[in-house]
Amino acid sequence: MKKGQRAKSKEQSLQSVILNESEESSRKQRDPSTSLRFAQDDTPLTSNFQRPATKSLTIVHLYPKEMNIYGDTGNRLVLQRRAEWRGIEVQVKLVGVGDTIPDETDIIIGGGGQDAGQGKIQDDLQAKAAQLTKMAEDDVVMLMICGMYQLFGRRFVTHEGQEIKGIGILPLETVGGDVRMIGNTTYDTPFGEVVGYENHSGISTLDDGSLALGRVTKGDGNNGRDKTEGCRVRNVFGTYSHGPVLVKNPVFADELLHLALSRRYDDVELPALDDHTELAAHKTALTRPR
Amino acid sequence: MLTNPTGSNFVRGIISAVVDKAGWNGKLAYDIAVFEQDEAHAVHFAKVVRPRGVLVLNIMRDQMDRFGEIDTTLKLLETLARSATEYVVLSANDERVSTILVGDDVKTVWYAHSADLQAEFLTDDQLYHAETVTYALGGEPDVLLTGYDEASVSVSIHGTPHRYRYQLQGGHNALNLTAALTVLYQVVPAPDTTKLAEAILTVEPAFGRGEVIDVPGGGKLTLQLVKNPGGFTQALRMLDLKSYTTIGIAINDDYPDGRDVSWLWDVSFESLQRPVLCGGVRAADMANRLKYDGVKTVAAYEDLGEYVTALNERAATDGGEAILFCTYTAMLKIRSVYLGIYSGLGDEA
Repeated sequence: MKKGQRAKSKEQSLQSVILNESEESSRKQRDPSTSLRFAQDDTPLTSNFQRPATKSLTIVHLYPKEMNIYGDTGNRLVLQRRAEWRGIEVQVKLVGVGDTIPDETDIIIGGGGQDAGQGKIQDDLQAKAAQLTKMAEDDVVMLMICGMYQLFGRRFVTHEGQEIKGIGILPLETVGGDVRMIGNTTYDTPFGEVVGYENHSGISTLDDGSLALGRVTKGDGNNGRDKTEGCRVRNVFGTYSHGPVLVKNPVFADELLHLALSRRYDDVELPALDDHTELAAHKTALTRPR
Repeated sequence: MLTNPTGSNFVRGIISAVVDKAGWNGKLAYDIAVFEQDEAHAVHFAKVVRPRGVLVLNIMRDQMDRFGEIDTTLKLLETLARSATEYVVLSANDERVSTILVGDDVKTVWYAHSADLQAEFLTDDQLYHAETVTYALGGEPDVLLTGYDEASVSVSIHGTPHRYRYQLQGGHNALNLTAALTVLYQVVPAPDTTKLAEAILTVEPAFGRGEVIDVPGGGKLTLQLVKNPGGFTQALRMLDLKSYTTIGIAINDDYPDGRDVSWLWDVSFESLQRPVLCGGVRAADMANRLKYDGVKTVAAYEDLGEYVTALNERAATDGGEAILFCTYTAMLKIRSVYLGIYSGLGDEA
């Protein structure tokens, strides 16, 4: 472990992501257990998690083609891997314009896109509105970012005054603003402090008495005025945070997995993962200027 | 020919280059100036100095924290293209670039790669939807890239095949050369082909675009700038052409790098065969990204000075060649550390 020791002598560096490696383990392996070896020591973690897969999850990525320009696709990967590392079987379905959302869906994610992208999905989203509303009432877990967050509200009135109808699952309305709200952001939530990166000109206002996802401690959040960020109704979460939001906020990611699994299975327990790299990235984000 | 070799592609960088090369009387003893420019700054520059020609290579999601949307970048580049007085050279393969329209008094000239190279040159939309990769040709290309390998590039110029030896690496450099040849034939319609072949062979990798640096211990390090998912994806293909024993990735998040590091999640790192040494302010973000693609991180260093030391040690241990993918400000810092070493300013043991 000579190399590892040398690396560890660098006091200033990020100790949490210093790892051991050998030529053998450097070979690419794709089973989930290999990723678990991403631990600070070389203790094999596989034995804990190689139980036969008894649980499964279906993750739907809504409009991956049209709504994808800010890296939010990473949320899908994070949910998938964090479930797989716990021996849960994951099905990922990409649902685009004209496609059907499978009935067995447990989690739906959606990302930010361009104005043009919002235009392209508008009609299709309306066609899916009834099903999505039903699923939301049925406690399906949904995470909608930025552009999709806005469309999950009642309506979005663009800067030019054009109205884009939302599907009204989240109690909010958005109007296009003059200034783009851009930068690193942090906010307090029931799952701890969340770090993200916002990039939007839409100003969203929640209805009185509705539940924000968090309280802004840095950045503009929903509108730059009332310190709210995001929104939550049942298991539907909306936020302006990119980053992607789940990659540096593992507690939030696990909360979504827990909610989704609890809908389907009794006594759901998510074994702890080694979150050194996630938390190191989280910590870095906290130190970055707006 | 006047160029700006500093890599600073804002208006201020170009002014610096012009002032640096001007004579005592303020005159420039050059026939032609070629400037690579930042898309937003170029629009302002071209208002003051109208260019004869404008070359637009591609439009990728890049620096979304500055531009907000990819279509905003397209609008900027279209405005720039319309400032040309004689010709615009456009990629016929890029679904956004090929929509650029200029006035009737300005000639539109196309360059492209051939259909069988399509998988190597994914456009921005295609990067996210591998299932819909189709070959697009928005116009008849004057110069067509038909192939490349580690030592040569094959093109068809006005239908005549040519193969040039060159020192650059990677498909992006091959395609850039194709674009440059297209411009050349606008400036010099009938160049001496022997001299042209010689000239191409003398082209060295630009600042951090496959630039090779000697490292302590006798090894070689290739520096490759990465700044957006498309470019990073393309750059990772360099690992298919040549075997590198040490792989580093250094990510900063200053303004020229892009403040938002979300874009790292739009790049697939699954093809990486070796553990990676991560560096830069966002080293932890990079290590985290790699983790989710099942790629191991050797270590992560926020401090780029320490990072370079670790990289040198690692390269010496591994033997063979090293490659470092880095964002713009990380590259500036890393280059200065290496150049400092060789000018005797470094404090490396």
